[in-house]
Amino acid sequence: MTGPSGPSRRGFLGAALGGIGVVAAGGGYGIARATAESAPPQQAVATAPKAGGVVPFYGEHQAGIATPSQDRVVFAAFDLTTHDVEAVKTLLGAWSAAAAQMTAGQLIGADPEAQAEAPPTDTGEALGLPASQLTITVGFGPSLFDKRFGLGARRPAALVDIPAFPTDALDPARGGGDLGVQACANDPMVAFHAIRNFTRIARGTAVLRWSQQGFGKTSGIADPNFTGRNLMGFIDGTNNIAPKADIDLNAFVWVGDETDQAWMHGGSYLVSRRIRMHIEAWDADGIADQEGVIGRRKDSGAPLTGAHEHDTVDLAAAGPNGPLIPVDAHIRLAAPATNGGQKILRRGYHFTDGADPLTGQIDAGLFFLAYQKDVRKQFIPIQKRLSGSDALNEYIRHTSSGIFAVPPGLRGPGDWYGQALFS
Amino acid sequence: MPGESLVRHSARRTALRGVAAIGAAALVITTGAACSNSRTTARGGDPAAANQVGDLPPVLSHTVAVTVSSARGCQADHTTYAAGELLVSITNQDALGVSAVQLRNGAQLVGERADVPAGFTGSFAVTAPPGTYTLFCPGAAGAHVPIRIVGASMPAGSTLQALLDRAGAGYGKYVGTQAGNLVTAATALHTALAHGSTAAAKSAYARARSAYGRIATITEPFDDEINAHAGEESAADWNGFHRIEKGLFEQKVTTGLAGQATWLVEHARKLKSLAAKVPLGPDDLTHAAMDLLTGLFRSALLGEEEPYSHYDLLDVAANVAGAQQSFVSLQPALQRIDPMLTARLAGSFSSLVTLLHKYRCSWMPSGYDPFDQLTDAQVTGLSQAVQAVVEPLSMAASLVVS
Repeated sequence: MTGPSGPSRRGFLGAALGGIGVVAAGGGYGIARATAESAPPQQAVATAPKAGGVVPFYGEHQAGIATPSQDRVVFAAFDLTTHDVEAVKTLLGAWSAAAAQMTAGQLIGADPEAQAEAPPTDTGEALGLPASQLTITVGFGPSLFDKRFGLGARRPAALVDIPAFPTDALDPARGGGDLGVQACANDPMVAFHAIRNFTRIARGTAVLRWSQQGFGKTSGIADPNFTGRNLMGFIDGTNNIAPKADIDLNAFVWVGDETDQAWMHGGSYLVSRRIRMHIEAWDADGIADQEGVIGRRKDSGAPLTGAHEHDTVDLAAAGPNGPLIPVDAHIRLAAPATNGGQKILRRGYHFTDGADPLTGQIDAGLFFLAYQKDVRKQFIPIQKRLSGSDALNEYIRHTSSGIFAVPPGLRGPGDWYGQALFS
Repeated sequence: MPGESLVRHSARRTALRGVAAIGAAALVITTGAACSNSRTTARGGDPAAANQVGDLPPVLSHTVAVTVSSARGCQADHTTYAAGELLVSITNQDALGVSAVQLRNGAQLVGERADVPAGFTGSFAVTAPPGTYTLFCPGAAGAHVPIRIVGASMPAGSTLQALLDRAGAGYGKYVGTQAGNLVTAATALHTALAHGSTAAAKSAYARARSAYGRIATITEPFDDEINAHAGEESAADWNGFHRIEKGLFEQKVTTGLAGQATWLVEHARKLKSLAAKVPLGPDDLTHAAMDLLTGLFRSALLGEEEPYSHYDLLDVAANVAGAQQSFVSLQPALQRIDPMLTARLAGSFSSLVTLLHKYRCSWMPSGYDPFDQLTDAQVTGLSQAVQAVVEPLSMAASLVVS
């Protein structure tokens, strides 16, 4: 699809304001047309900053993985309440159409004024807001492949149940799920709107199991000019997979010919972990100890073996009291060199869920999202190493866990999430 | 949801039959073309035979094949179809904004199929008398497609309008019966309180609530005092169900409550006479059902409807029963308009009722577990089951607007 075919959200706003809007492209809708007629072209696209732009929805891979990280995430996992596979397919079809429209900055479905007596197909709170680089990424949890829908033989071998790790403190109600949806945007309203409407479309077929909001991208596809900091105050994500590094993406992120399930070709596996940080304890720790725990300088982000953020992490460099980067430092244990050269694409966000009702401390941390081609070679061994000896474990707890097989991208209108899985 | 699953399967079979019917229609068209050829041939031969063929009415299809696409919008395969049982078979190729197709006769909706997103097919059957109709594909470019249906007219009484009229009358009777039950139970409550019998009073209170909950949204416009909670009226003016509930279940006294029950009986009688006079259109039925269910989220499903007795599940069950009665009254009409949606609603109601049944409790006067003993997960499950009814019900509401 080359241009928007639905009513433009901004077009509607323009109409509502008496024609101070943008030109709604394409479309066969009364209101969109009325806007186009009443708005002089020179007033079109009053603001079209990159942050408000459109990330193409269709393509070889789903957007929201190799897409440069947006500012916000709203993640949601759903449990199917139906036992009818046809209802599941219809839900995924309806989600696909809605996602194509929302990511293009359009309203879902028909012109809301076309049927006065019917509830509008779009809930409307994003009306007037730009697309905001919204991406919606859908994945399938292991439970989708149980006996309910006859998909057992289609379960990829790589879609394993994540094993328990020593430092886990998992709340099952906050993890897992038949379907996982990651909505990322530069405007939290736009991201929430996507999840809210997915939940609405699912009513009667699936229910929300858990949801997590996140802010301030932590790493994502690395920007060589700027790496964000985590809530511990440290630069985080320096050695993440770089933009346009197709070699890295093909080697570590996209599922290729090695898969046992052809429907996953071009897809990826998402692991979600809600990592609570005990930031009060961290804040009370001396800076030298903090830097030893991480293995980097707090101010510059330079490894303890270098002077600048992007200096090589020299794991072998010795200091007066053992290695300069301590044996239990986080960057040592997470480094590809320590993990047989393996990398993962981290795409996490910070979260805070207010006060911990028990302790009164701030309930905050990292909502870790990572994409990879095989969790058995990537996330699981890396996390096994980290949970065994990472000095950071004193300050963090993993409170939720999820794994989702993210199918490849949609070819165009009429294609839908997982069509190859269900056919 | 085994019930829903069964229904969905049968709907799928209908869709398969639809595919077969398209094949049959294609055959019919081919035959029609062959007929016109043979007519040309016949013209030179036997004039009687030519005359005979020429007198045959055009062969009209009973299947309306609708194709929706982003490029060409909403399209039907013909402009004229045969009256009677008609199958509307839909293929949504790639129109992202379209998920439903309707058949309308003027302002009246005679049939619909929802849940046909881009890349999917679906169908619905209607019984259509002759006339001028519009296929409506909300969200498509060129959303309105006029079609004609010709042939023999149908007997009066089987029209959709007749079914809708019958729905209103049927539900009106139900409201009257429940209002009568309310008066009977309120009177029993008065008798029990006057005799100081706590157990009999609790039982009568439960019966009165059960009747009231079924029709609350129909009677509410006439009397909202009867269901006032503490704080909604000044203490001196506070009467009705929950004033009695507080005395009986929290203060655990019957003294002085008989006077309150007298007030309740008077108001119940007044409601009964008013309810009998309310004209009920089909949209009143769907609105009443919607209000009964969505009201649960604000009160009974929070345990705030019966703060002293914790009989909230009784209210949930009563509201659900009232909403289901509204649906059952409309079902014959809805079944004609959108059998898929009707099946989904029936399935959702059935799942909800089955779930509620798990909380039946014989020793409670309310017949249900006390609300304060439910776990959070149980309340969530109930809320989700109610929500699963509300969503298709909100769609049904738009189908039966008079």
